[in-house]
Amino acid sequence: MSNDIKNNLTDNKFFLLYLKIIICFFFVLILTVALINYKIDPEKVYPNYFKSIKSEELSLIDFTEKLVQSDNGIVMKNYIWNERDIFYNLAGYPTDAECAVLGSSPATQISSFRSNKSLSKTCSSLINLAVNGGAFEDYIVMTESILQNKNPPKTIIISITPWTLNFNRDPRWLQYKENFTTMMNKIQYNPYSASKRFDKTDSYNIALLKNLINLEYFMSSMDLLISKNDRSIEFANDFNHNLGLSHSVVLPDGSRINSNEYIKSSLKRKVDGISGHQNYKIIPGKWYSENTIEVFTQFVLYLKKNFKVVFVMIPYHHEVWNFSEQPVVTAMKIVELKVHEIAKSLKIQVIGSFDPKKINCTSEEFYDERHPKDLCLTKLENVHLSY
Amino acid sequence: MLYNSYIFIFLFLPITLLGFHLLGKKGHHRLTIGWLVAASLFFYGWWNPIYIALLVGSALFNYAASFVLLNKPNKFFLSLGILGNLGALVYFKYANFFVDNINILLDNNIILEQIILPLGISFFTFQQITYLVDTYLGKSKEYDFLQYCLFVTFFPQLIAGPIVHHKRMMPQFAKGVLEKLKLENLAAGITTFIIGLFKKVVLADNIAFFATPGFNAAEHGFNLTFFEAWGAALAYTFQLYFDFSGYSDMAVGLGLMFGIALPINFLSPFKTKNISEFWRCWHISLSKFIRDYLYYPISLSLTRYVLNKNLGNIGIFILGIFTPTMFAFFWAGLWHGPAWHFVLFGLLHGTYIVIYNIWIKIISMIPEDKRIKKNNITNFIGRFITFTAVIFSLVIFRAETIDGASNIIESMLGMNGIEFTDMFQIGVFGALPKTGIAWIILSLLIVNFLPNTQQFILNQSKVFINWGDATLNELNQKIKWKPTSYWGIFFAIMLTVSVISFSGTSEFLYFSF
Repeated sequence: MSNDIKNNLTDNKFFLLYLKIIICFFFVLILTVALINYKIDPEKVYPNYFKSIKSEELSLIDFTEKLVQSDNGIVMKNYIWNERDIFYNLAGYPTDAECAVLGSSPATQISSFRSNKSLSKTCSSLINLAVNGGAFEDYIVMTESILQNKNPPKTIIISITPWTLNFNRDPRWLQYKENFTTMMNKIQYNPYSASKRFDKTDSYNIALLKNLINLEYFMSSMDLLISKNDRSIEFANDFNHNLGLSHSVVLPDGSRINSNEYIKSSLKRKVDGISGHQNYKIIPGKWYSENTIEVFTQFVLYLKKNFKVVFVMIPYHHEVWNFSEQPVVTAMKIVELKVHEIAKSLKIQVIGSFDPKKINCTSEEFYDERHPKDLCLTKLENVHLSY
Repeated sequence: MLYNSYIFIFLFLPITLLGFHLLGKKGHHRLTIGWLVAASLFFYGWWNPIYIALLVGSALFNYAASFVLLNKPNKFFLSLGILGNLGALVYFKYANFFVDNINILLDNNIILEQIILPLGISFFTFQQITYLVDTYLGKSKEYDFLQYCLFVTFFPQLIAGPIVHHKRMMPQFAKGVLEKLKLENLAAGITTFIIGLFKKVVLADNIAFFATPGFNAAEHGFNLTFFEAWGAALAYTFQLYFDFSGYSDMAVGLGLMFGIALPINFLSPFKTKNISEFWRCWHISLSKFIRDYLYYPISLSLTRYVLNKNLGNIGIFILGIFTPTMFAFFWAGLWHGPAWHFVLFGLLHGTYIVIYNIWIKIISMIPEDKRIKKNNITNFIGRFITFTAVIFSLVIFRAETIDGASNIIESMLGMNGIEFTDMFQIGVFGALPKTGIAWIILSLLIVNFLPNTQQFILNQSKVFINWGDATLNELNQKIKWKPTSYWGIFFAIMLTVSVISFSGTSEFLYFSF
């Protein structure tokens, strides 16, 4: 064997080993990340196969009971339960609340528990069922749970965002796909089978699969792992709602208080209307879909049989409005008109506006581009129209 | 299809490599090439299948034109060929730009429907124009059609370059050269690809969070603070560099996996000591194209004219240096996109080059023994000036309008004041100033102290052909890649971190609203 060939064979051995190491280690590491994300599952979005449930972990029903009966709410120190699980259960929990609020993140601060009560002329008390990224599909799911409530609220407040009148703007509701289908059947939305038209299970499963190897989810899993998977709950003591605590807090009525860190950073940050997340979930040109409005109308008509229904629009920051060429501004103008049009046809009361000037909210009464503080939310009823 | 996607990493690439290996192993050379062409068309069509027709049509047109030119080299057919290519490019890339400008100039209101720009059209058009020109000049020969198709469509360089030259590429597709997978190439290729992927997904995408808000705000008339403006400009400089050089590294790495050497496109441009050197290290394949096919021909013919007419030194400067430089950089700017700020970017660099040439002329007039000797301090000053000049030009490159660019530049020059309280207020920089500064410092350390991909890995690879100017970079680096277990584990970790960063924000975390 010549020296060249010998050298080549030796080289090849090294290269083969090197490639094997890269490929094997890569797959081992990826599988480890996926396994940790699945097993720890901070938001509890994966099914429980192969998972052991710790005996000290509270069931959702226990959690909801403790939340509603708590004096000052629960500190969301760790990832206790998936957010949608919490509020789906809260929706079905019998309370004396007069109103239930359906919405997304800007509505999470609507509260009857805080000293600055929101919607106080409309509701003496409320439960807040808004969830982050809450889409119209989430509202349908939450309503299905409300309908099972033995002591349901009398009024349903539907908080409408500039992107609510579209389907498929957030996949998270799909964990309650069956409840969605049940509700769709109840509202007898039947030119077509509801389950067929809105079945996005594939995209949800793909999203779950991708999430298994998501760095951000992995960091949360590691956080939880370092805290030894401590999901025990911590009751909040009496605290200043304007300052918050080390973590966000869910108040007994389901409304949320941001963490102290978030509140402080929002005070420091200058809202310019351009560089934030104001265009969140807005797709230029697709301001609303006729199909969604058709279902939305059916949904409201169904609710009206048993509840009083109120539409609420929560304002965006003044600076966002200053840049009128932004997609979100067009969306707000078009959707607000559409909401009034629907309200008029269904004889629904409308509270608030996307425009902060109409409500008299000041710039200081916002955390960021699209999340007003409680002070601004108390002014929502400054603008109300009953059709 | 993007390199930084699950479908590419977990399906397309392994399947393409496997098919290539199986066909190559059995010695089916034409089938192997056919497989790569088919895979490349699939890769291109993933984005929009309709544009496969454009790509295939372009290859057919140019192959036919080259056939005519080979048999009868004449200017008419060459012009026809070039016009055909430029016509498609102008229609897809520049039509709206021209119409908008005509509307402004003539106060018209011609409305053209929005034309979607096909991916990579600038790259495959320029590659084929080069081929036609060389065919006309008798510098190329007739190639096999299938091999020609691979030259045009080869997926690693199809979408974002580097711009490849037929003389370098075609011999690599020949029988006996393009064969089955080789472990050495695969190892070097995968490693280069991982470096590129990491640059793009981890470095560029994270730094982008700190650049974009500042530019958006300036675009809408906000006066950034002095520190915000510098923060945004530096963040964008590094974002663009890591993004583009990352993409180029991925392309080179992918080519290497198949045993094909693509040109290296970046050679530590931020270590360069003058602007001329910078352009020999930044987007090298474009610089070479512009230099060989625009600058040299114009400069040569104008210099001849100056010498014939005896126009003296000023004549040589104006016609031999200034005019061809500005002309070449005008087109280099416009090549990046149909907008005036790209033209301005090109012209600014043209001006830099002209100033540099004047400087060299002045230096050359000083007797050698009286010149300041090059040392670490002069090198540092050279690097600092070059880097700063590039940052200012990239502000113009990034801004969507001239107003937006001048807004940031004014703040960078302190024309809106320099305040040391509330240094960062806008966007992510405002919320996380320490993180933003940390990213910028990390980027500075990487671009200044780490070897580039060529120094680190490609010089060790037998297949790699040095297409850049190797003398610009010290090749004896302390940190060198070797196929050892340690490096294997290191790159497996880098690949994992990159892949788990693909999807960015988790849509399942409750605070991700």
